[in-house]
Amino acid sequence: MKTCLIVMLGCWMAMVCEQTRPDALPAGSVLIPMVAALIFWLRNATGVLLGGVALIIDWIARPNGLPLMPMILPVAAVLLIRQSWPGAQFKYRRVMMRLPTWTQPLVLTATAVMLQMSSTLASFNGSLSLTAVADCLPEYTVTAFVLSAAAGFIIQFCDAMGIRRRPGYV
Amino acid sequence: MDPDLNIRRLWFSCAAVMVLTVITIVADRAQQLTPLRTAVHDVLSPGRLILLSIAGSGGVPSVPPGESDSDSTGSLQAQLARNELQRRQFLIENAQLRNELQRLRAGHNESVLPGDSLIQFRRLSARILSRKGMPGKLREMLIDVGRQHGLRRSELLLDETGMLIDQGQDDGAVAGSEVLSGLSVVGRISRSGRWVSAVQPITGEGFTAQAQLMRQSDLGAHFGAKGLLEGTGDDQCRLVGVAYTEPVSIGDSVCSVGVDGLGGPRLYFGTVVHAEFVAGGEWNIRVLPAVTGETIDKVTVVQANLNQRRIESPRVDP
Repeated sequence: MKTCLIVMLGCWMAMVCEQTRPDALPAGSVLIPMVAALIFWLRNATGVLLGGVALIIDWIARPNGLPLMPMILPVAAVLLIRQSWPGAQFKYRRVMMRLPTWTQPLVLTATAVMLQMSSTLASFNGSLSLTAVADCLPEYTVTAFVLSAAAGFIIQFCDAMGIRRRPGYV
Repeated sequence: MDPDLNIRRLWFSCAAVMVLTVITIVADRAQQLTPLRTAVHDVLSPGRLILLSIAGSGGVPSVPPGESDSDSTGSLQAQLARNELQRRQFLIENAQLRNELQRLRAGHNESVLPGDSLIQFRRLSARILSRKGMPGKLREMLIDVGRQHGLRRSELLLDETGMLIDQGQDDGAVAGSEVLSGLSVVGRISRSGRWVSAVQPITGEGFTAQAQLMRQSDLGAHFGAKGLLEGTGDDQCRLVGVAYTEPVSIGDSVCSVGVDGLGGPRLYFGTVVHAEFVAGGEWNIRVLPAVTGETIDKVTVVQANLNQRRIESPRVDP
């Protein structure tokens, strides 16, 4: 419960920061790493549900095309999480390459940024779409990917130190 | 813990999020999300106001010297509240415009010929250098650079008193191009120098543009009467040429009729804040601009160009 409250507060702050400074922080550049960190910190159904709800609330506040992120990101998250279950690693070892822990938030963030770009491409027409994407891609690179990489390293560090609860608990 | 059970729970939560998303999409299409959207913005507003006040207290004060502390605090708070209301209205209008666009696309006539459009709209990013004409320091810097590049005496600097942006003829910014912030019209380039351009705001005297009302009804947003948007020289515009037989309400949106008369995306001017009958059978409509140069640092210059690929492609005889 305490973790959920902290997470909800963090997502609220991320949305507040993005809406206060839309020039420096494009939509999702802070919220997406926050959601990725939440999902991979908890690594359970609660994390996926809370992350999805945060993305839906962000889309309600700022609708932009179809809500692709809440639809597709949980699926990507589950695919990444399940390979790291202690009992599942032998079952899925041959199916997919096991990504290091610190890269998983980064992969999820890259997926989310690509979905965000596709919404931007669909919102404009002609050459406006490509210039709109080119304008905000550097800001995503500086903000979202850096925050995701930092979150990945922190999670791996906490795993190594035994600070984080072991995955497998719902 | 059985990993298969946990994985099933994960997929169940994933499915729950997808169901919630579908419900959200359906509710948005049915225009049922507006109260929830307003509630979400109400929840986010305290944090935004706190961040804005922190950012404002750390920056250059915008209140001119001579005013008392209580007056300046009150005026800043009033300005914050106005900006917040305007921003929320703009977000809601944006969502309604998007729904209207989706409906129009869905009902698009399939007999339109496919292929590249002949007209393309090029977008050029620019920063606002000054809001009150050419600063002295910038003038000196540009004169020095001009001398180095061998500019003639006849190629004078712009001597405008309005907004100045950092794109000029060398970058492709030409007089007459629309200047936007997002999809809201800030103004139009009145004069373009080699490196900088002067922007006439939509509230400036002499600014005119074809505009159209967008009205809300129970069935959604739809376009209303067309008119001519004129700048008045103060902080508002007026919409003229709307006959008294046309319906007009306070709160109606005002958007453009294409870009430079060539079709293209609809651009947003502002909202109707005053409407009354006048002699001559017309409405006297006052429009509050959505964006002013005081609240933004970056703008976009939109230009219509011919599609080179269409022009250069070989002719195919029927």
